[in-house]
Amino acid sequence: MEVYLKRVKRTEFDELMKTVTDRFVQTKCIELSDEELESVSENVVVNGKLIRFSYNPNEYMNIVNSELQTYEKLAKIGMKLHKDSKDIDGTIIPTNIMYEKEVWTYLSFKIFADVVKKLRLDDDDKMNVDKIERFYFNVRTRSRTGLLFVWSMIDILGSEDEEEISRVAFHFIDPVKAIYERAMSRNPIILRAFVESIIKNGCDARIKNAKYKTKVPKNISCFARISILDAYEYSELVDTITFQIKEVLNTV
Amino acid sequence: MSKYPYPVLNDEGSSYKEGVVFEITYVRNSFMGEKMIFELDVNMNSECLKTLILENRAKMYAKLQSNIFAFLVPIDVVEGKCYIDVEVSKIQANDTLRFVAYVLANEDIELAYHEEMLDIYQGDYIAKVRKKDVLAKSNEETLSYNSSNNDFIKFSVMDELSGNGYCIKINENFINVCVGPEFNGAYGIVKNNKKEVCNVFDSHLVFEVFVFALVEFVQEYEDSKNKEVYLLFEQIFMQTSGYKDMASFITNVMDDGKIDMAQIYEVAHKMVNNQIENSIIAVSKMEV
Repeated sequence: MEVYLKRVKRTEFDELMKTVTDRFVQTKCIELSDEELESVSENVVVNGKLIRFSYNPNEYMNIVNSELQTYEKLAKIGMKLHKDSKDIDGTIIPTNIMYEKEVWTYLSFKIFADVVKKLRLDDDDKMNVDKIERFYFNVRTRSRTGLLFVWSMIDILGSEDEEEISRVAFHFIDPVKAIYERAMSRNPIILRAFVESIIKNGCDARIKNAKYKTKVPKNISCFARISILDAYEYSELVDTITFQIKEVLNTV
Repeated sequence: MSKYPYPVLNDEGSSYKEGVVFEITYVRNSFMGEKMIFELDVNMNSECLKTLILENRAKMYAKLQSNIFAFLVPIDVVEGKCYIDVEVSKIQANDTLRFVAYVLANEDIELAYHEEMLDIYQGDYIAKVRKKDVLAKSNEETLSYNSSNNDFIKFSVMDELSGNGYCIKINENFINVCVGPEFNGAYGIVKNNKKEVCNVFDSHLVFEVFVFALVEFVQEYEDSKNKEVYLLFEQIFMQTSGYKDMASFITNVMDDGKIDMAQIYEVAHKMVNNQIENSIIAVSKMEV
């Protein structure tokens, strides 16, 4: 299916979020008609050109309806989203546009509404205003949003075609998020090296347990204050972080 | 007091004596096609660190960090200068670009006391510094990209405009929206009581600014095209309007010496909605 990439107009964004959340408070339902969404949205224009992308909704629904674990579903959805976020003629849609919350709001309400609902919101009783604002409107910390976060994780890791890296990142989501949320992860090699170091440590389950999931990233962060990770060669960086993780795991 | 376990020439809490500096003195950006080029000048006068760099035991770098990416590039220590290029498509509309320079150890170093360091390091003290550890960290310089609220569109209250609403003035490097005291008072009431309306209000003002600037630049293109304010405006225009450059827009919009205002409104609308982040729309810098 081919669609034009759109975004909710920035001038309408806050008002739309207020309308949807107010309605939810009254009805306990997320109500937004296509007409309403379209009336406050606009095409994304890049250098005078409308952006079209192609996606297959069945492929997405097959993933979310599968027997896979949630982390595996997120990894696959992220990889797919990243692959599909290219203009129809193969041009990559500019990164700055794909990081816009207004674009993901349109996509989450219109194009991938079923995916968002299935992935995050199956249990309607657990729905609340905060979740609507995060998952549909992508406000607050990016790592707490919906599809924007899933897409951005694959973007930073550069793992669109690498299932293992993507899967491990979502499997070890707490420590990985802790690195993702720190400024150092803006250099993409650092987050990727962290995930690869988890793999090099045999995907030790302790890295994601209550004791180490904060201790490991905190240790890396402290190390990075003195030693500038951006300056390492990639393989050297992986070895260094692998060693740092080992060190933490070896402490009682 | 230094936060490092060994002497570091630092912008804050330096382990070096007064007068020994490591600083970014100049950052400027320019455009080359789809790339933004940053030019950085760095001043470092530590003989101790210069010797380490000349012996290839240390290296000087600049780090650029935006809202969505970061990377490190080497600096030519003789020139104290570096150029960093970044694809414009990677920079968000309201991005803040941060620049910090570092001197990093290029190998494991045993750092002995040097007369430039604070006296507390005097004696037999030898610090073991690992490869890639920080030896010096500069001040942080920031650049706001397309940041209308800081650089491009400014608001000010002018008592002379009492009873006359507001007026727009194009200055050398920014556009100034001057408002009268009554206008300012009304804005304050809206801002304090109904925040969501305030955005609409702000975007209306930005829309007016774009209409005004488009008309001005179309009419005065030859005189304006080298001014900084025009170059900033052109950045936003090219990314948002659907036109590749201002010249082709002018050809389209001029009809027998007259400006087609419908097209001006259409492009101004696109510019407001298509690229300008909330933070830019919310240019509520008025003193309310």
